[in-house]
Amino acid sequence: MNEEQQAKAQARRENAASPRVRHPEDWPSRRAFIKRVGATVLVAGGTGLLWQALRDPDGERGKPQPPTFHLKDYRLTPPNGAKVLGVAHGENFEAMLKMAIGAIGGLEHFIRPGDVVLVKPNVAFDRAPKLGATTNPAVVAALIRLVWAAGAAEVRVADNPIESPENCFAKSGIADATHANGAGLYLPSPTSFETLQVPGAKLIASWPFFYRPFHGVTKVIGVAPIKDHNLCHASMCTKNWYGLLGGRRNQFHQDIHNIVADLALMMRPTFVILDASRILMKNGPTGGDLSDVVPGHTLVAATDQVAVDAYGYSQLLGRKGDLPRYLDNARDRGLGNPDWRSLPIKEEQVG
Amino acid sequence: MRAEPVFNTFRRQPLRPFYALREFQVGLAILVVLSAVAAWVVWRGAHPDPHLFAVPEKLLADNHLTVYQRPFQPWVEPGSAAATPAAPRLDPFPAAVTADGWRVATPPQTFDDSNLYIKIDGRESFYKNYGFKRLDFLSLAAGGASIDIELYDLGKTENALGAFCGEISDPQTAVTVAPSGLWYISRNSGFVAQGQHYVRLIGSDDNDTVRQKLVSLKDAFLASLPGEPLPWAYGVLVGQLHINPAHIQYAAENAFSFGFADQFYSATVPKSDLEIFVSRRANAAEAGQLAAKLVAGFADFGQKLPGPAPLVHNDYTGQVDGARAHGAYVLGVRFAKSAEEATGWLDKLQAALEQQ
Amino acid sequence: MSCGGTDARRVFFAKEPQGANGVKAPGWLRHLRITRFRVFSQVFFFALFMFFILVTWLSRLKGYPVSLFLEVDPLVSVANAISTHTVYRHLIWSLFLIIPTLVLGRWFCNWMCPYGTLHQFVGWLFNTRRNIDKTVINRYRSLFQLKYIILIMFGALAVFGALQIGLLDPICIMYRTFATTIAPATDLAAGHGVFKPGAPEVRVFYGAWFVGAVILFLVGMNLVIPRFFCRVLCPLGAFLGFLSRFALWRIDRDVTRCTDCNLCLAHCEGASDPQAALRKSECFVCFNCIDDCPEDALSFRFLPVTKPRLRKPAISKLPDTERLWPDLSRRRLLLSGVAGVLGYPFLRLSADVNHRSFSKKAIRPPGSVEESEFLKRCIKCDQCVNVCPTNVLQPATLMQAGLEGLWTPVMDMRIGFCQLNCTLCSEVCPTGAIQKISIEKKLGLGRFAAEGPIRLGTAFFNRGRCLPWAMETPCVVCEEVCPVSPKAIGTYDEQIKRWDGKLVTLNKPYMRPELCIGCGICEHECPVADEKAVYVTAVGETRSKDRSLLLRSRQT
Repeated sequence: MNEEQQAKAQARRENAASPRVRHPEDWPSRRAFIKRVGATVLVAGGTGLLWQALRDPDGERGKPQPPTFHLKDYRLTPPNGAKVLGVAHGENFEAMLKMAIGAIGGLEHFIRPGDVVLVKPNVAFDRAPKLGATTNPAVVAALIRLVWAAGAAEVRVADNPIESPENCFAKSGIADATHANGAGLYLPSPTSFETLQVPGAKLIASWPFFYRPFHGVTKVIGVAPIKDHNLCHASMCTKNWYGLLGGRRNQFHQDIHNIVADLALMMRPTFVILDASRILMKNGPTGGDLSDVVPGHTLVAATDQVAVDAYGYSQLLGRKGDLPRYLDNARDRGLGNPDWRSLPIKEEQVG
Repeated sequence: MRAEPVFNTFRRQPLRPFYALREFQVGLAILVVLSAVAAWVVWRGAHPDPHLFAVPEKLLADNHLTVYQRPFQPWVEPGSAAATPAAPRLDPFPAAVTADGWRVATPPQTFDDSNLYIKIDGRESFYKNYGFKRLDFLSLAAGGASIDIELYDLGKTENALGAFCGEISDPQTAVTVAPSGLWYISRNSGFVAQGQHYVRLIGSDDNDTVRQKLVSLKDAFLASLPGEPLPWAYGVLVGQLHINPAHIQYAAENAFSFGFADQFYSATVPKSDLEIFVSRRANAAEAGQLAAKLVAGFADFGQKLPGPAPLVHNDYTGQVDGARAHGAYVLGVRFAKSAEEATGWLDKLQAALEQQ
Repeated sequence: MSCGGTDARRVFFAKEPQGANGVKAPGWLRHLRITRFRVFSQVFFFALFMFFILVTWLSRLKGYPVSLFLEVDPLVSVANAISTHTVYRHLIWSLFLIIPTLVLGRWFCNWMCPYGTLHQFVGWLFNTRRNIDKTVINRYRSLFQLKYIILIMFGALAVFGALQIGLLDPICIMYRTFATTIAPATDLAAGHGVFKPGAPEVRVFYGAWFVGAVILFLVGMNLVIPRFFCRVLCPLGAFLGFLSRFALWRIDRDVTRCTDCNLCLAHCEGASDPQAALRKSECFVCFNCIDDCPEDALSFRFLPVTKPRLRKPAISKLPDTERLWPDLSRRRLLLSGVAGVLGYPFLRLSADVNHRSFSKKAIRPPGSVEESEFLKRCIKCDQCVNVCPTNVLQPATLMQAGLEGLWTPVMDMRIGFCQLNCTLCSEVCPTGAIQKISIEKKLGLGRFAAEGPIRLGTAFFNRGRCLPWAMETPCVVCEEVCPVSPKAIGTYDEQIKRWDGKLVTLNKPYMRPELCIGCGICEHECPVADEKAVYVTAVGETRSKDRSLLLRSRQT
């Protein structure tokens, strides 16, 4: 053992024997003391306050609270002498729309300068326009032009199709009809849905709704094709609103007749157009074959969407027997009158 | 935490002493190449393949496939009134077959061309010769007795009557003419021909129970089977000449073994070999031709008798055959004992036709 | 003589100093030196790649050649030529890369490759090394020969018809990563479709975490070894390295000027030893060494002489200036080939890819060739997965398809469905694993009427889970959405009295197999969400006789 090591061993023994004493000069300064202890107290206290603020004793606060909203009632009182249904037969869609909407009160009555107008076609499937599974793009184009001419500040077109939205809008020709006429196209995106409250609805009292295109909208026009439908017999203006919902829509088929009646309650449009330029007679609602489609040469405008559906069912689809039950349900809930024969109607050949 | 820069903060400082203009020139050439690539990409983007996004409209051709849809089945509460007739369906047999305490022993079975042999092995060619379409079979039972019902659909009234008459073995059988059908009942069996249908009712026993049921079944079939007024020839043969319908035969084709002769009604005159026959053609000319052909055909087996009458003496049987046209009709006689008898029946026939 | 002005026209990359010193080139020439053009080219091609990713979507696609990078990728075309003995459609464009590589060397890696650019950028961004560390990190390591071993294994597998280059081909990795992780992650963060507008939900992918983990690892490794992937793993780089052996130009070192200072290594991208005998197979032709050489000893030369006759005394202690072949011993070359040959049966004996026990969920996109042909062609680039408008196409996981089928496209009808009037996947497939088809052909219209439509599989009902069949509850969404006419799903319509005494009408669905094309929209829309009551399996697909179902399918 050399000298250095011996000295170290000696020092260790002595140090271990001596008492632990902190010399006053080793204490931090008062300022340093306050800073260090203060920091610890601050962090500890802050944590306590934060935890108190976040307290959730029964777990209720922690549950997600999605933002909810209500839809407006977009209806207007029709002018005196206006019919409930305006039926136009012909080939020139713009003239037919003018006639049909004129019969139910006139576009100038419904669309005022500065209105933000949403046009809701049915673009549910990726189909060529000729196959009749989607709204005729020429009708949508004519409607957009008329709405612009009536002084609308903004025209929007929106739908949440069943198949890929991009494909549906492109191949049905609605995307072109929208862009070519200067309207805005709204496709669904993950953030464009919010929970809609529909007081009085049986099944969709609270349901994800394609909200984004409705922001700031003052008028809503539905323009729906007339189609065969196995489960609910026919898909027309009321069923068209299905395309504004999100979420697990595929559950609706379990009670389709109450759902469609709920849709009539959910959306009270300014007016609706039933596009019977082509009629999908069978294999609906997808179609897929020209033999399923017959030309209809007819557009119907209406302020009562239940009446126009009943009219289309018996007059345009030519179905015998009882109306689809959803129309009866809608009548029972005061949402419209399926007895269209008792309502004022104007029918004309245009051009 | 180590105090170390997060990102590269050095400025790139090339150390090389010289620069060449050629680098710049090569660089410009590279820019040209990149621009060309960009221009090409833009050009390609502007020229999409049109078939990628849509089907040519002319190809949306009609699809003529039709789909069978099973009919809707409404709810029927078990035990309710609506539920009872769900018992064996009897179509096409009239519902009355189960009247009088008779019940269905074998539910209806249907046979067609392909499986008729299962039901009547060996005899199916008889019905097939009469234009057989389908056979519906049903067996009834009451007590120890049973009745088998065979309902033949032979397509045409003539076929049904032909089969009906063709099966009558006893020439004395009394056949009754109903407005649109024929029937007779003998002992434990009954036969009905009406419209295109021919019904055979075969009872198991020869007793009153069975016979009563045969009568009511006969009535039920006469009432239910569709039928039209009997063929024209029955008016002549039965109505004018009072020939028993049992003796009338209809040959749809190949009458008298002549390939050219079809649609002939023939009848054997009671208590003699003599047979008369008659057929309606489209017009007089055709009738004339057919009559001439028949006479020529008869002449193959004998000699034409002299004189204006179209008669032939058959060398093998020693009897006289003959045929002639009258208007659109062909009428004739076979197996006459003499030329006189033949001429007499020809005249009778002609008179009967004229009467009608 | 100075290097600027008119005299510089005669020199190429400062080849000869011509005796003059210290005369500075004009500033603009210094800023427009060749490495700046190189950076521009890299930015251009990276932007072009990003553009292609962005437009790979129905509303943007138009006629853009979005698979261009794959189609010029020589490894894709050569491996496909080995496995199929053909060069499909646009793969011929790889000549635009092969021929310049034979002339100029491995320029692709540092001028065009977007994955190389990504690695270079990340490596540069976090490179805070100083002094000697800067040069040491860029020295050649024997680890770098791994990429040649990988290439030879993949090549041997391709001979037998198992195409595995896509596992590590940088362009395939790049497309796959962007399709299945970066693009959806961007859409998720943005809350709307940046890459995929008009999709109601953010796209999800099988094994996205794995693809993401791979890219994070490979990009992160740049902090440890710069351009780790390019130097160590890249089979495309290895292939181009072999080709570079024939290059007519290369970086040449003038041993009469080189002082062995090693500064040329400071920014050497390929770790190609420019300070000694240049490894032609490793050099990315980035020209950074020329920028870094204070002695003007390095130049890019046409047909440089390996052992030049020196007119002046050599200063460098390293006389050699060139190494032609990759640093791979013949023993390792042989063994990696043997490993590849052995790998084939190991892969192919996995039952998932065998026709005797094929996975019922290996439903391939429309236009796909028969399965063994498919595996000869598919490079797992997932371009089809990227373009698919419904998200139905998924990269297969290891569990589903084994290693051989990893990341090949399969359809999951719970996530999406095959859109009837859509053939985009067949358009973007660079190798013909999905042959280019028209909608006419897919639907069996016009001149394809005799063949009938392309079937992807057949749908089956699980009556034990189907609401009308099993639970007395009305439904038939499946029948409603069935896109063929007449519909392949029919219904038995029946009224029943439920347990609560209510009369309900049930439309009980059944399948008409002759009409079903296996598109899967019924499965997608079926409300029995977790285990669907109607589901598609691969049996009955038209591409394969082994997997047919009906003796007689629909004849028109």
